[in-house]
Amino acid sequence: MIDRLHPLTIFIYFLTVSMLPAFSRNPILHLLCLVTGFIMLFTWAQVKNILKKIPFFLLFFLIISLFNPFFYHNGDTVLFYVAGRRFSLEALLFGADSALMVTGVGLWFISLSHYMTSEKVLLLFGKLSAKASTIISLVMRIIPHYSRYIKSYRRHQRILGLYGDGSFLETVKAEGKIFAGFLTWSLEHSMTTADSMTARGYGVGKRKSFKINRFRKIDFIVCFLSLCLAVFLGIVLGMGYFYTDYYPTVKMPAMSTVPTISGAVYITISLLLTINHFIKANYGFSKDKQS
Amino acid sequence: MDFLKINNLNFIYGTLNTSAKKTDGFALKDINLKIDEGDIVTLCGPTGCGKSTLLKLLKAEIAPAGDLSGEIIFCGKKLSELTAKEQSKDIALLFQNTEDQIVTDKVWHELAFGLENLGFSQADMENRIAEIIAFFRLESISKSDTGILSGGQKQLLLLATLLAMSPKLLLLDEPISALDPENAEMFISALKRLHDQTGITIIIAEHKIDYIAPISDRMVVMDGGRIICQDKPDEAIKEYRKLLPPIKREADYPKSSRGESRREAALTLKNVYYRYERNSGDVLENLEASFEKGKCHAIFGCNAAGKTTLFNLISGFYKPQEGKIIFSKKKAKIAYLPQNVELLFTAETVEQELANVGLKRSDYPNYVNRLNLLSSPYDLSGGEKQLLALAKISALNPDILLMDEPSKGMDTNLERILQSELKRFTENGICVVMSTHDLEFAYAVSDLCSILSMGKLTGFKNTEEFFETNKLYSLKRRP
Amino acid sequence: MIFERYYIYISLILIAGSLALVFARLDKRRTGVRRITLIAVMTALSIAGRFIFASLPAFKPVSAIVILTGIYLGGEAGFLVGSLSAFLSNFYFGQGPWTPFQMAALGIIGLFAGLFFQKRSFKSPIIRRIVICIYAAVSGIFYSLFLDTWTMLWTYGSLNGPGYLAACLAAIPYTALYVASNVLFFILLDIPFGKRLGRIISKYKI
Repeated sequence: MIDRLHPLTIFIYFLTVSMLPAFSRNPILHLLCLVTGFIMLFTWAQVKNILKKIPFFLLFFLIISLFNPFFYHNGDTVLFYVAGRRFSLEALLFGADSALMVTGVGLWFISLSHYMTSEKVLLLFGKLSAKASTIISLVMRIIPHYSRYIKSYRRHQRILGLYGDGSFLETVKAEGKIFAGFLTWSLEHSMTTADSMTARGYGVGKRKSFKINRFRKIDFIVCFLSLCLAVFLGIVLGMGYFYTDYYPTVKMPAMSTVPTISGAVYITISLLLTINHFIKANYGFSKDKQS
Repeated sequence: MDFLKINNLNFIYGTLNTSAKKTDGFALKDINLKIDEGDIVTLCGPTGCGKSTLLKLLKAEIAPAGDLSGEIIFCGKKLSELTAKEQSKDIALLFQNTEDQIVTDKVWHELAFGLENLGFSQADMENRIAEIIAFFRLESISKSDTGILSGGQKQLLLLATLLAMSPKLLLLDEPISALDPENAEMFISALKRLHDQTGITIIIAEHKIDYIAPISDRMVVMDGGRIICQDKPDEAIKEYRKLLPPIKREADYPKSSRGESRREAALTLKNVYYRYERNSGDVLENLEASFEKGKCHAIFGCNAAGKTTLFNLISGFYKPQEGKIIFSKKKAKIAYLPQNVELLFTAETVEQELANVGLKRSDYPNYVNRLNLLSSPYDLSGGEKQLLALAKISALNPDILLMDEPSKGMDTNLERILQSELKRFTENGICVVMSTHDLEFAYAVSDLCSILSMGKLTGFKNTEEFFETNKLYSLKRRP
Repeated sequence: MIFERYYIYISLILIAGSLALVFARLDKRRTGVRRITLIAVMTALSIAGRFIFASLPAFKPVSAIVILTGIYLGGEAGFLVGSLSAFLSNFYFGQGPWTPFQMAALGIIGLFAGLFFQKRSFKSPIIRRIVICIYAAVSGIFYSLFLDTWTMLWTYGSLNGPGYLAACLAAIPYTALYVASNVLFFILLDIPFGKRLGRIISKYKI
């Protein structure tokens, strides 16, 4: 299952699968990326919530598609004129392709940020910078704490009369005081946190981070496959097998052997974790509830 | 070789710390103390007696700035000669403020934090964390966010994180004064188990000595920065009681005038229901109660019984989903003293804080004299903060005063100030409602008592009657 | 070799690579624990600021807080607060290929605020204020342009032509909002931050 993978694996896999098609302007690759990214959502999100988001994505898609033909006028097939300027089919198609690509990558990134839990982020960041990972872990811890505190701070100040008669000016003034008071509180208390860190040996030597995930064989396989895909698709794209041009007229590559095989390889790898997830998710679970 | 030896220790706080207000400037004076390995020693005394300062000086990396003379010898070495690594490994300190000491967002990571700092190997870390989780029974929360834990769980977690580093000396600064009885007992029993198992040396600074005395080998009573007595707990408690006599119900307050004087409701709750989420159970269920003018009401009940929910309803933070809350006076003014009094502070100095609620220098209640007017509210000690909050609240001239655990963290000297303030409030016709776990304090100050349980309040009874008729909610029979 | 959209890869690799280098470099420097917790507090505050003003487009106190961190706690702190608040808040507001660019832009704003203003003394507080307001305004323009450029590059694969110009023109109201919010929040927050951070810095000798 995806959440059992090492963060590095998740990072590499999601980035290769989502970002590689963005190399080209080929709508078929972009469509594949979008579809597989969409299916990936079902590994963790509720169907109801996914459906709710669809209108938003459609709107986003439309804006990006339509922006292009209004400003780029090269393209032979003129559909109509807007304020004396050409609105061409080619420019519209180019816009639509860009929209496919951006939406597809967007979908993949939504899943990526779901699977990159705070623990995984810390593990990944810890490798790069111990200092930054300490700060991240502190921030993760204080944000919920702050939001609870400020809620009750506002309430208590309200009954102390800070908000006066509730007029706009009074409210603005009160919010300013709330902010300043909150700032003092948070700064003062952070010093105790610092003392507690010192008392527990922070900074006495080289820090090691505790790893909750291990790099397993499956991680190795997934990373290896991702890299293979990157190299393979990189070469195919570089050789121009997916070369697509929109101006002056749309030029798409013929559906010959190489692009077909490459597409198949891409689909296989980009559905790999999803399929694996659905198999594992319906297999081997005991009917008993954990007591 | 002595385990820990303190010779002629004197300490004066650096100029920046405003709470150094001892007569001769000494926060600690002529401290001589010998602690054997495996002992549990309790430091006690009134607020500001120097017990916390002494503890902090034993942990050199975070020792407060100031002039120090005398010496501290730990396992045959001067404390200042220990390396930073030895310091952090061998001596562990649990600070007063639980919430601020948590560094990470997951329980397992919090347990690993100290080990990560000391550079333990992955296998060692796993082993120690597993051991600690099993010993402190943290399995069910080991993967939770630290933010969702209760105060008692947080305190236990912090104790566990310190123990994971296997220190030789454990210093606890008021570990239970902020906990309710249930969690305090849980903490003490964990501490006892730990001591029985490992024989670790523990020094505790605490004023809730009823809990600590039974597990202490020795008690050190301090006052004004000096040690005035160190002895077996039974003997030392006598000395402590002389210094801080327990709070008493006022004798000049005739029984009859308390109960049978005319009753006038300030606030009535009728069939109030409240739940937090649509599908959760009711926290308050068909609650009926009437609170009287000029009376001090004490509400007991265990954690999560809904006391804070009740207060939030009365103060208008929440609206009852069914039922009514009726104030006898239109636009009744409510004041609310929360458990965490820092919620009431906004200003940079004590003086501004009081000016914000319209209090002039001439109107200051006399206990405000104890505070340094020019210092920041955050530089005050815990007890002083409570006095400042009390002054702010009373300046509002409320009709109804809600107090959530008002005596929390107070020693009996401060409790007496609170007692006389409460008397003044009720004499002025204010309806005081407090929730508390502190039976002795409630007995001393309240007129009417009730228990909140299963979403309902039992009928209010006169305090004396309440404590006579109830078997469990009665005063402890002290030796 | 024909890569149609190689600019985006070059820019992504450059930005992500240099971010990684800066983080690795910062790790070599020793930073006191108290400074670290202050950086965490400032990061949390700037993320909270993004939340509080989530409903208003572009009008956010984030950059102002990053600039203030740079001024009072130095360039390193400014960089860390800027880049980490962009990174962490995107877990709620959406991660994407733009994350490294936001991190870099905010990080740079914080870093330069520190380099320019941390140890500088001004003739008068008013001049100081004006100079920093100009910096805040410029950083608003920089942030907006930098990200719009990347967005255009990312979406359509090129920058030439009227589309880019149109996008920049269309973004003028946003840019104006960035500038206005940076300057406004700087003016509003400077005194409270200065007083309170100053108190903490001198009380705890940071």
